[in-house]
Amino acid sequence: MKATCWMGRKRIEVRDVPDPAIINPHDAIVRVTSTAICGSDVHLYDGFIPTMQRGDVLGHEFMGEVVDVGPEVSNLRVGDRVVVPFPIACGRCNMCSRQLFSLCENSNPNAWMAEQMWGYSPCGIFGYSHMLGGYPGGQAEYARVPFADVGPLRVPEELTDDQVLFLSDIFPTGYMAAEQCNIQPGDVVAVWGCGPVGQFAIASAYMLGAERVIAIDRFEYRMRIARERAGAETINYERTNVYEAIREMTGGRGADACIDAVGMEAHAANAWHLYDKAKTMMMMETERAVVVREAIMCCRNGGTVSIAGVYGGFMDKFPIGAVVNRSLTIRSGQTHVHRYMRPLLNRIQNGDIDPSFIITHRIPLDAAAEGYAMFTNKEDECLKIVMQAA
Amino acid sequence: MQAQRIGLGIAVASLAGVAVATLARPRHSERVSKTFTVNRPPEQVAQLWLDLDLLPKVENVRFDPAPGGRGTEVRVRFRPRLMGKLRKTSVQEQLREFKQLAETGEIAAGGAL
Repeated sequence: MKATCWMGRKRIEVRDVPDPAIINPHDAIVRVTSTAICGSDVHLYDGFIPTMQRGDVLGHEFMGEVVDVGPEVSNLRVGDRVVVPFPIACGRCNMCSRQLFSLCENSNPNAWMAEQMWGYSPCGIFGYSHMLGGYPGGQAEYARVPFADVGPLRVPEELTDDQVLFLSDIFPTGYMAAEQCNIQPGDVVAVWGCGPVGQFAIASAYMLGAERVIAIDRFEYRMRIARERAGAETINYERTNVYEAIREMTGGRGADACIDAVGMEAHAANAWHLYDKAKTMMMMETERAVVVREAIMCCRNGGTVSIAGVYGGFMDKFPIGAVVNRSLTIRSGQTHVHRYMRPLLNRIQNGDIDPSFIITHRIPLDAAAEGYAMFTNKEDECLKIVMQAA
Repeated sequence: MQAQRIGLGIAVASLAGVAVATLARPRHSERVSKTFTVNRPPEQVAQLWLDLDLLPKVENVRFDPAPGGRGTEVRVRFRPRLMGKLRKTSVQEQLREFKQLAETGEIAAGGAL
């Protein structure tokens, strides 16, 4: 089959690889009908995530048709149309029992690597390094889905792929980022990053009762979508001092909650960016932390900072003094997607939201390399690329 | 000549340091303990331990109820070896596989590095 393969930093190739097969009794094989390039795939593309190998199949946002199931999968049948959550979760361990699916204790066969880095291991993830399991991803014609009795969600025929594909990751990720803010009536929420997760965080913050959402970015086309489609007010951080602007917009209080929807490759229009860039180049830190620092400083006393952007290692100049002395709450985590898929599917069916509003480009799988470059470089007003294998 | 003596002194001191560090490390013949929690009741875990027989050379194994009814704490003690299935890392991975089998009935299969 054809698959999108990581061949090194900034090198993507669509190659012929062996078809996946059932290995374990809870496996299923899915013929991928739609798959997307995620913002976190850019961290792989840019070489920020360790333990990638040449030839690794990428992709953790995908959906399709079930074409084979293992003997222990009784909830799915061949022909079912499913969306696959990006965390691989067994559904039976202590973490899964607590609905903390992205912390599944049984799905990462290379857990020892993650334990060296983080103390304990999270779940395995499709197409996201060997430290997180080395599972081939879904930017391919077919994908093997472990624990298919737990993860994949059957979706109704009347909804298009475009409407439900993002249940695999970014819609639940934006939603969980907003849910972690414990939004109360009258709250003002600030969201850093108007990429796909940021757009869903804005929309979700409104769904959860936020009075106002302020979004921060520098790309006008992304801020326009945030204003017109998600309903945010926007700040261009290249033209405006974000701290002063949020202070002004909140009557001097600061934002009740701040969401980091950017992560480890953050950019800023000030000296902090040069500082982080220099330190990451010298391997003296692994993250560019400008957004999380700014989010902490812009949050009101006693507020919440919710981190949805991906971080992988160690950052410098983390303002712990502001967190402690101002009673801030920091919440984070890889998304427990399984927990959110059905409720968010209901919201799509009810017409509360049509997630397809973020799609700007559709390309064939064969053009994955061009797609990665376009998405990473934000060419042609690219916000979200959906790829079709057929 | 003086430089040679100094060089010899540094070399002897380095060797002595390495020797002390080596002796100070835990010996492989010392017993070590590994523990993990399985999300199933103790009697089921104990029975499965016997049935699967993954680590027959482990000297001692205990099955205690985890606090709050959250499964079973399994503690094994063994004398690690430099080679074979009783290497520390090998035991750790076999215990992880036992937990996977006990909780899910299968061993996770992704991609090796």
